[in-house]
Amino acid sequence: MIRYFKNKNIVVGLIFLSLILILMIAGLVALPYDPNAIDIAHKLKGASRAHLLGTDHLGRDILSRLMVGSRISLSIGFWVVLLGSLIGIPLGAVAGYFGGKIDELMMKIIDTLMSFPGILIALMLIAVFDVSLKIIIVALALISLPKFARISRSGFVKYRESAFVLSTKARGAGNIRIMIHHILPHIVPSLMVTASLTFATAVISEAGLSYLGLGIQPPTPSFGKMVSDAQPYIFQNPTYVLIPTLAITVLVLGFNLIGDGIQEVQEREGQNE
Amino acid sequence: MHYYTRKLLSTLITLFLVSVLTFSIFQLVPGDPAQMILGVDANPQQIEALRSTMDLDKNPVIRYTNWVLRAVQGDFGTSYKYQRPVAALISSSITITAQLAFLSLLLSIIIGIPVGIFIAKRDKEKKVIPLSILSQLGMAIPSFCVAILLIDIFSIKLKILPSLGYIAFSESPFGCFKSLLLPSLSIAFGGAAVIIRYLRSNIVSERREDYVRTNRSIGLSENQILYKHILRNSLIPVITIFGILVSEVLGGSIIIENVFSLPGIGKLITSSITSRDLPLIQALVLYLSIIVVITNMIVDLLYGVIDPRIRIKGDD
Amino acid sequence: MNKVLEIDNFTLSFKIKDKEVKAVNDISLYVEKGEVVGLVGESGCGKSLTALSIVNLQPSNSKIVDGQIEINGEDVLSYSREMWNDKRGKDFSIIFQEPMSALDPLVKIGNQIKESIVAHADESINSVDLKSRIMDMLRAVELRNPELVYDSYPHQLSGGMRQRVLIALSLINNPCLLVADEPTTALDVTVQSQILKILKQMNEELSLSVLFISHDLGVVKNFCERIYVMYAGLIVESGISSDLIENPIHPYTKGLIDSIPSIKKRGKTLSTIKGNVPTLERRSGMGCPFASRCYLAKPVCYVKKLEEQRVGSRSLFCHLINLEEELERIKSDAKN
Repeated sequence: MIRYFKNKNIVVGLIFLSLILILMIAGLVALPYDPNAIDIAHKLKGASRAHLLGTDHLGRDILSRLMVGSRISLSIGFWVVLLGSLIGIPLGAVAGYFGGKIDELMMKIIDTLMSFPGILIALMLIAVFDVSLKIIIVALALISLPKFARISRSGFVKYRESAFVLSTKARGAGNIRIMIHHILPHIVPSLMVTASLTFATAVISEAGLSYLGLGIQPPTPSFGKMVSDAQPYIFQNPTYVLIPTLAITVLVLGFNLIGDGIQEVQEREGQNE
Repeated sequence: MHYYTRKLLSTLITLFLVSVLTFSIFQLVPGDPAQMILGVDANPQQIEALRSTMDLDKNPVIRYTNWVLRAVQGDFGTSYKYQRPVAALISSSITITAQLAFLSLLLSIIIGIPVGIFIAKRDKEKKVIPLSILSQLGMAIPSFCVAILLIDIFSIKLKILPSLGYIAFSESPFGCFKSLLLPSLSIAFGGAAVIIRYLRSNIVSERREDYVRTNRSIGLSENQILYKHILRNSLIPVITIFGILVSEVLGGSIIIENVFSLPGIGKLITSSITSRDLPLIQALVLYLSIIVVITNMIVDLLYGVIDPRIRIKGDD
Repeated sequence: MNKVLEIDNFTLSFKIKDKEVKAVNDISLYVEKGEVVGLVGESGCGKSLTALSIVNLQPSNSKIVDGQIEINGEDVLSYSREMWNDKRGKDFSIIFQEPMSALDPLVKIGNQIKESIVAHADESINSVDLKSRIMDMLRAVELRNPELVYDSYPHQLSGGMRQRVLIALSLINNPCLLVADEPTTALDVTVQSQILKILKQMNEELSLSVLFISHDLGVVKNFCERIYVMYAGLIVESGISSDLIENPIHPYTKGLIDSIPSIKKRGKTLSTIKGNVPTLERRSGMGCPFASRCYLAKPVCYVKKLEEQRVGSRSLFCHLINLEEELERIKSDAKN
């Protein structure tokens, strides 16, 4: 474990991630203002003691909105990774471990899912079922599912013929047992990489959808919506647009760096073997 | 089986599955589409008539077959909102999206490949660190945020590029280029970052290969080795991410067209979603994914042409 | 005496955890014109590093601490990067152990060899001459169907064929010295002997000098005229092949010879040397590196610096055995 915390990418990534986490936790403990309280008299104000990050075009406190927005981004990312991995990993495991026709069929379906530009799947589901938090999560999980399945599959393909698996098999262990106890632990690091990158993608995609007005619906604050709200006022209050942009970037960069770092540690170990 | 035949066959199967999936999801729409189009005041006869023209009274397999057969002939149905054939709507906006996507890809490559080589070449030197950070940022900043920052700099502060609207190529080629430059730069920022990272890690790992040592042993200079051997070996795998890149550029253009008010496919999709114009959305989804599937096929075929190992293995 | 390669007191070190460790420690050897010389030792004893250093391809994290390498009387360690690129593949060449991955997978064989000619040609050569020169070389390394090989990609050839191609590639510019770093280790036994035969032919026909590096004394003994035995960065014994093989003196050489399987030893257990070559971190740099595995070892072996003992072509590094007395004893044993 320690070797992961010695990696520069992981450390910086964790610092970035904890910035957003602190924001979220602080918001859960005490919000400075009601994030939806409109105060036109004080709109588009810069940073002040009363409003640490200023106010938006409706006079709402940007810091409070950012705190709630971080909760939205993080929870969407969390559910997407959870759903995507819970479905994707077993699918890939079965395909990779048993191979043959099952593998071919599953991989074909995975390839098909990957043929849709990610955001298009989300837009399609939103068009059919109408916008809701649940649909956004389901859509983004559906986009992430093929990635988990592929990584899991290639791991199971790699280890199913390995000496330690064959010898465990010879001692009479069942397939399920081998898959869970003997192969899965070996591919956990590469699955962590995928989880990290998936989290980042989910955050970006949600921001994009919300920016288009097809994601989180107002008045609930979200990073993407804040950017699109701020866009017309870039001239009057440039920090207004920069703050949510920065929040998205820090969060995504954090997860990307963590993913890169885990991969780096993995590769270095692979070389030393 | 021959490599190329196998790839063609696999593409056909994927196309079939893509169409089935697109069709099926739209069967899940709650409520009766005929009722939705005609509104609540429509009488039962009108609804029944529309249901039969829309094949809604037939079973799903027949409906799917008819839908595909018509789609193959270029008939994607009629848009609820515009009351025009979907095909006509698509063809009037595809030019813009195609130009945008092309320019974005071109910029991604023009920026990504040289920078990737540069960073890999000076792997351990301090002066490439800013470039590495920039490419990390390229992956992390959403394209619409990049777009807004670019608009702030080039349209509002410097006033040299337009922040919205599209000028047709036939009207003014240079104007067209100018109207697409900021949108495609916004997309290319991320695209280039993907290429840079991939190419760099390829070059770094190729450099450890044995053939590089052989090249040194016959007296080739480091530059000769890099440009004649390592680069070719490193660029081939980059072709494989081209399919992913096209998919990302198309996805990116959906958002970016909305930022810059470009009347392309992306704008069409978002407006059709707000108005729940289902035939239009269905057609657009199918259309864009077919483009991605075809690109992936071309990438695979190209790979076979360029890499002798695959071409010959496929002949067995 | 006409020495093509002469290495004097050469020392190469690595920095491991802020400690300088000598991977090649004060070795001297030479190869005369037209001679085939073997450099033998277990893996990890520094023989490949020596080979790589001769052509300046040693790992970038290593450092040449001391000594001289001369090729044709020129001090090559003073070469600039451009000089190295100019000389490598022209005046001297190297071939490696792993033929499977040593060729660029995307370039046809003919073109890879062509590159080596063009890189060293002073003037442009027309393509017909180029091709005929390459075809001659491919025939010389006894590739059947040279036309076909010329237009093949590396993955279409077997390991033995690729090693022949690599020999052709390294000899195409008529170098006077070939460093062969375990060229047959990765190959089947039958292919092994064919490759050795080709190298021998090249040695005789082109009066090519060869420094042949191997971990297998059995391969080296019939092939080389003289042999250097290397252990943990040090040359411990050297001499004329037949002499050294029949009358090994150093305990390490004895151990190596005893572990060669042969028909004479059929039915007996093969003896092996106990233990392993110490890793770089665990070498003290003092005394005899073999002491910890030597059945003769005395306390003095661990602390005192080794001195070379030399009688004629025979040389020995050992604290306990007196070379002159030992040779006398062997001589008198032979008489009786």
